[in-house]
Amino acid sequence: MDIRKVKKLIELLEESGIAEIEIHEDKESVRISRGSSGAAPQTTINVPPIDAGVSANKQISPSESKADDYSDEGEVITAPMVGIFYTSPSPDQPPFVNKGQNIKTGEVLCIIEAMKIMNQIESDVNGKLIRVLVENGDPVEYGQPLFVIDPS
Amino acid sequence: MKKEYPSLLRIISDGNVHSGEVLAAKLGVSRVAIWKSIQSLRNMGLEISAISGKGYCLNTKLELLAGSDINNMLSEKIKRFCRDINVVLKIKSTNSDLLNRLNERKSIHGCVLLAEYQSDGRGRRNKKWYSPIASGICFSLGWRFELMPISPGLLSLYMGVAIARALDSLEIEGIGLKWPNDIIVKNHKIGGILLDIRGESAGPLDIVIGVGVNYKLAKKEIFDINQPVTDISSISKKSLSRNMIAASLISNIFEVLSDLQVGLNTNLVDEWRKYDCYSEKEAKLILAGEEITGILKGVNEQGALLISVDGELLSYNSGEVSLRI
Repeated sequence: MDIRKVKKLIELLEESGIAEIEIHEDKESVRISRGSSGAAPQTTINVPPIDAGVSANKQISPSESKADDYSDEGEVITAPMVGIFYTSPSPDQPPFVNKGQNIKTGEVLCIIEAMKIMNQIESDVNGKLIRVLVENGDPVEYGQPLFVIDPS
Repeated sequence: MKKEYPSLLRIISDGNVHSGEVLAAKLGVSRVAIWKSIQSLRNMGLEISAISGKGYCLNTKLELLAGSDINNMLSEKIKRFCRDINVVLKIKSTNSDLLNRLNERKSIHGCVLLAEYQSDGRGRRNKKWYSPIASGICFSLGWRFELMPISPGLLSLYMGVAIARALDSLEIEGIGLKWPNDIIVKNHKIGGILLDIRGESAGPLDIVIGVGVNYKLAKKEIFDINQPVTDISSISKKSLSRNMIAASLISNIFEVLSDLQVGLNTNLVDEWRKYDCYSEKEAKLILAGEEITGILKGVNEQGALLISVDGELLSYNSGEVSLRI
């Protein structure tokens, strides 16, 4: 990839306010992200060694919803890892929580699965569940908003 | 559900013929109650013959799991980590039971719970997991890391290594692993692992490790299940005790966990690679809305699956590997 193109991309990123951008061109790809770590352009597809469930070459696209979009409504619970979102402990059981329900701190809200690890996501606030933003079985990205809770 | 069936199972596990009348007298219940309990056991997948005019019997003698027997086979070192071992006959799911203890703010660190039958067992992608009564060695083990020394994803692979070590030590030949931690013998699945975690990925983190290894499946089950499966009885050259296998599985898991706890042997990725039985094979990776076909290339240092697609090496942390393309 042309270095001038990469430079242009960096400028573009700085102007836009987007946290991360990834471009694929034939067999090359480049990902540029803001912040102190990993700011250097990468020319290989790799997995950031963050956690259990970071999937390859899939980054949060700017078009997807962000936690900020709902922050005026209440506390936003986001996905701590990449994986598959499940609403219930097993397929024939009712969901952990339902919209409109009161939630206690530490209560399990959902499961996110990756690498055969079922990560039980707990609420860090007391309040009323006002939004469920993901469907059972959906893939979720790191930082993606899952629930909005109106704190009490 | 009748309460008689656990005692009934213990009596008939000797493989002899027992008349309904004698069983009823022994357990202090009616013959109808015995018949109902027999039905309950059959519904859990146990093959019980009814011999006209004689009584009920199992096709073969059955060795039931016993906590005290398993505990006696653990080394002194492992006994220090293993707080208690319990065996139940029937439960919804051993993993769920340990998770429920966490809900009640109880510690599960070092607890082992074995079950002869799980009515609501779970597998990956939240699928139902099926195992007839006493056909496998199924248990959950609880652990808590105050500080998590590795990523939970790697732990998933390491648990596969622990089970593979155990089966190796029992001289079961040809043990392999399929990403992330299915236990494979010659392309047939012999066991699986499912981890539930709760807490912070850097710690404190409560972990429930659910293990199921096939011991003896009926022919019917081997054909029923949607993928090629095998069991220890069919492939082991010698007859192995279920309690001994359980002790070996439990010991090897505690070994890996207690090592990690003190910062020992924190890198088992190369050992996982030694057991990797599908590297360089063409396979399909089934993801939530798509499927990718390529050549499997093992795992990277983070434990993610590597797959080469049209010459490009990609890594994935979710999805299910299928050799059926």
